[in-house]
Amino acid sequence: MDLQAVLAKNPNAAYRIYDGKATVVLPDQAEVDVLNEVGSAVWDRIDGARTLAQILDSVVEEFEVDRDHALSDMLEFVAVLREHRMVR
Amino acid sequence: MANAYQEMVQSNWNRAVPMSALLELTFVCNHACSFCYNCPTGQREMSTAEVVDALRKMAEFNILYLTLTGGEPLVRKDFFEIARAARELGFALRIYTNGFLVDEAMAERIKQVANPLEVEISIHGARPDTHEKLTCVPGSLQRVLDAARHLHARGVKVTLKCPITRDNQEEVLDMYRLAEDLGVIIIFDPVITPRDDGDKDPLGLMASDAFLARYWTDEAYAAARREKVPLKRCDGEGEAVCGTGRSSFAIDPYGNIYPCVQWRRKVANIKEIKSLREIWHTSPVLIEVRRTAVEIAQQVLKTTEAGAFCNFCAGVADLQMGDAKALYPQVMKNAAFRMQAYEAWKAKTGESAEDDGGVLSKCSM
Repeated sequence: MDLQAVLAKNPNAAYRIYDGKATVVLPDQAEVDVLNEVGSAVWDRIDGARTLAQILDSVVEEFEVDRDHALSDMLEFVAVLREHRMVR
Repeated sequence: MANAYQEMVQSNWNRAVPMSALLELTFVCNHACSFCYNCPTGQREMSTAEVVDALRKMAEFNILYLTLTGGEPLVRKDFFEIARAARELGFALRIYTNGFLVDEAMAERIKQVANPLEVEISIHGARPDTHEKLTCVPGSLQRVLDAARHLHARGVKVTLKCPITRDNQEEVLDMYRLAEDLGVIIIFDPVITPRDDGDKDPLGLMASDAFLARYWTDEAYAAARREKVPLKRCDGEGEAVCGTGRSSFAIDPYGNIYPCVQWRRKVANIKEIKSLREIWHTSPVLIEVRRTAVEIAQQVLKTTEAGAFCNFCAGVADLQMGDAKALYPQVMKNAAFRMQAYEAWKAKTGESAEDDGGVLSKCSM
């Protein structure tokens, strides 16, 4: 996946973060998903402006985690978000 | 992911972190239903700017699910301005309407602007004369059915809601079939409540005992009641009877905040506070309401066998009996019929509904 890609949240998604975890509601799919803390951090930063590389840097800084490990987690999450049509 | 969601909802419930709110946009309505619970006071309803400010405060308070209701919310000329603002603030919307104004164009706007999780529409009979006897508006049943059809065709989830009365009790199965034909859900409520000003006249419309016995035991009604057998409550230690003032709250068209739509004990006015955080954990009303809701589940409902089958509403008890912990007659009557049906089923099959994981869900508005 291209780390220079810029993703935007599905504008139909409604979401809030409770206890560090994002609850994302997709009315079109009648679906509710709860993301874990790293996934929520990625989700929160997807804004149609930042690249995935910038999001990765930000997550690494906040969670003080190994970059390779964070990259692997982030790509896995982005794949899930795409599969669930939560991002574009 | 469903388990993660359930865990998160339970965690929020335990910590009294509300996820949902109900906003009555207006008490104006284009119907004149004889048992409508709304009691307008003549105060000025919130302006568009005031409603949007209330939405902003709810969004800042992390409310995710927002129900827009009335009166009839779609009579407000600024409804779509409000709905657009709500979506921009990140709410997942539900709309509760009588459907009368939802033609194809309106259904399209609802889909495009509000994109709601669900639209709930009231229905009071399967035959025009039955429905319209209650709404006092000719042609209103056809409008309900058309609204459901238009919304469903656009991929909007539609739920029809029907309070069962003496007048429509014999049409329950026909209403269920109408919903099935439309491809939408229908939910029946056999317990009638008083008006918000305490007027008990609507209680005279409660379905007959003979019907309630049949409703809870007859296999023909199983799909309509959405419970194969009546489910039992399963309140854990220290749990509240419902989510009043805990998982949700309600705001009326004047901006008054209540623990829930049924329990209209004023907490504050949304126009007069800077943030809902100011009041949520310190309001004496909310503290008392939460404590009472726990006492009802842990003590009051355990004083009677039928309590385990009771969809108890503290707001109705307070309004009708002057005591939020009083076992009001219509809910206990319904609970008794539920218990009888459960016991008969258990004696016949030797099974127990809770063994299958089926327990009565709590009201969270």
